[in-house]
Amino acid sequence: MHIPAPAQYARYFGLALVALALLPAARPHAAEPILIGFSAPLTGDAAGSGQESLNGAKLAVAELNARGGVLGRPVQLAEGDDRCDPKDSAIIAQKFVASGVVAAASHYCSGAALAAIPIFRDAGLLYVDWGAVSSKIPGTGYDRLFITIYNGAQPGIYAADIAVTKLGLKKLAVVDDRTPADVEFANAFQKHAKELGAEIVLAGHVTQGDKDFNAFVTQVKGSGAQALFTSNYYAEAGLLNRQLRDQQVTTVTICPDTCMDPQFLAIAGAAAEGAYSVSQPQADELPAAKDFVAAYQKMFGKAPGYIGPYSYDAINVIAAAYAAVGKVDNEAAAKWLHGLTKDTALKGITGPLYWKADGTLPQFTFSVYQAKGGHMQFVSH
Amino acid sequence: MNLLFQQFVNGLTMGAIYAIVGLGYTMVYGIIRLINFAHGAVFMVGAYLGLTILELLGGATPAIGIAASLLIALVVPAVICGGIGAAMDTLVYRRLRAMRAHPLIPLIAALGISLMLETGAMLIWGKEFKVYPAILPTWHFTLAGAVVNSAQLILLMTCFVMMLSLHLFVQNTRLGRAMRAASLDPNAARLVGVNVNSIILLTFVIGSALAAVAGVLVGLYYGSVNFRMGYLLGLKAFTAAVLGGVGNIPGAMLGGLVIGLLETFGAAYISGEWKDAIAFIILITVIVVRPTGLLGERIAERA
Repeated sequence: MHIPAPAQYARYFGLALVALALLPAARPHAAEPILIGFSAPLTGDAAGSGQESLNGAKLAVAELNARGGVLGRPVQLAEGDDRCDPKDSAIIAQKFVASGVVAAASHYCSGAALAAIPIFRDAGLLYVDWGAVSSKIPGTGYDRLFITIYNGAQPGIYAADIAVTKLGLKKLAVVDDRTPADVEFANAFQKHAKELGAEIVLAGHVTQGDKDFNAFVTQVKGSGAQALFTSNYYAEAGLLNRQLRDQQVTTVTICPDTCMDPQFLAIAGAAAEGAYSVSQPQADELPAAKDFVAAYQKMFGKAPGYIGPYSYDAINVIAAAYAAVGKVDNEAAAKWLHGLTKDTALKGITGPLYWKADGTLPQFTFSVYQAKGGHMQFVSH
Repeated sequence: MNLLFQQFVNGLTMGAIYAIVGLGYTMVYGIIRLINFAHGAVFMVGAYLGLTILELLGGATPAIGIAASLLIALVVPAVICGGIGAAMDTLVYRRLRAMRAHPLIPLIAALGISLMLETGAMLIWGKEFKVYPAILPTWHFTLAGAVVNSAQLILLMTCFVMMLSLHLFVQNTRLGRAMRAASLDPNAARLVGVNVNSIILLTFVIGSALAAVAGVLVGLYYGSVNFRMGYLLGLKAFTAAVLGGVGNIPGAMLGGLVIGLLETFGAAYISGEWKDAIAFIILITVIVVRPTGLLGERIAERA
């Protein structure tokens, strides 16, 4: 098999957008390597997360090869820099297929994932998504797709659990800005909160980019809500918190990971105090990831962030499936992964891994943070 | 009832800002028939200048005291933005007037100046939100069930004092009379010895200074500023001017308050995402149904 060097790609595509490079195998091996495609934003705005996820995948590959590989064959990553761009992602997916990649552990951005899925499907690749969270991804109905991170509205559902079950609040208000992901979170929050027996006393909408939410704040005041779930971006969430406190409204604020942005704390100022944020956990908060954190620190000289554990698990899911069925056969591997249950789940460092029919996780462990003294502090899972 | 009154206070606060910024549009339009679209950007620059000055004076705990540093943070941006307004007129609009340029050309120049100021602010202060120091005391009082905090009180008082002063200035001073004369008929004003170009310069300076003060007040009230904040607010203030009757000073004040109140009650009793739509539905309705606005456009007097 011949994998062209990056320079040749630049010639093929005119632009050096696509850089596929192969990691050297951990040690020389006679057997042909198992190629796993890794596509993520390695440059551009999301490069920080992309590089973190690449490190997670590299660590998993290094560990697998140190144990003798999978089915006696070494594992190799084929890297692609999709820069979160669907066009680049499609080109990379085609290169994966052309260069003999059998499985993909890929994608940080949903747009990039959705562009690659039809190509993966045509080639019959096993696809493990570790970072793209749009509900449109399981919505494609691809039966060889498995997701190691939360999907779609799950943060909204978890936030409802926190509000109703953990904090014991029964009168809740919700606000969204009518953007698709935001509405999905807000609707899931309302649905699940009602299932848990809480009452949604107010569901409002605001506009992204607006600065004045006082009219809505007065409605919150009149509704008697004990908590407000806001899935707005940090700028609106910050201003909203501030205006709530300005009008002496004391509702508890609950957000998805939008409030983890330091700008939320800056904009809301003292009004942020006590706000909850539901986010995917940092690596060092995952109970099963202690060894991973140490190994990552040793290999890359820095602490893993938020995303590395999920790409690490994605590589191991692929390896475990091939090992279990005894051959590199995607049909059999997908069938085996679908057959996993709560009791036979793979022990991922991010939690137990088994899937619903659409490839999403039935349960995902979120971390809950609370703003205290100008910082978001870890509270619990 | 107390909710209704709280919404009234919310609307009044927004409306006072629209009124102050709207005055800048209306005064300039009244004399030279130019919609100065750079006015919203001047408001934004004022907000940033206030932030920088407050930070230079020591942030949340200024050495010279809160009252003194607030006064400096309101006056200095007003002076600098007054200078920007003067520069806009002398460097661009006056030259275009001298060339007897087509009325569309100053309008396009205004859009250009607006983009220049916005991009400049982005390069100087950055793309991210900037947070105002928490200088105001966290104090509030309750009036008929409505909470009014210190920032709101300062904002409302400053706006109404400025509106009243402007009104008295325009009605009772020689310069004010010259302004009214230039607005009614620039040529006749020139014949009776009014230096119309100086009067135009003065309206730019006053309008820009008012916008700068409004910017600082908004920064204090909301606590954060960014380089795009002037765009939408400028459009709404312009709507306020049109609603009141463009060119009509008391009209802009009334229009601002009406827009602020309608927008707030619309957001509260229809839905929050309709807020911006409401302001612009008003704009279109006024233009179609009553182009002279609530209090009548000055142009009507001239005909």
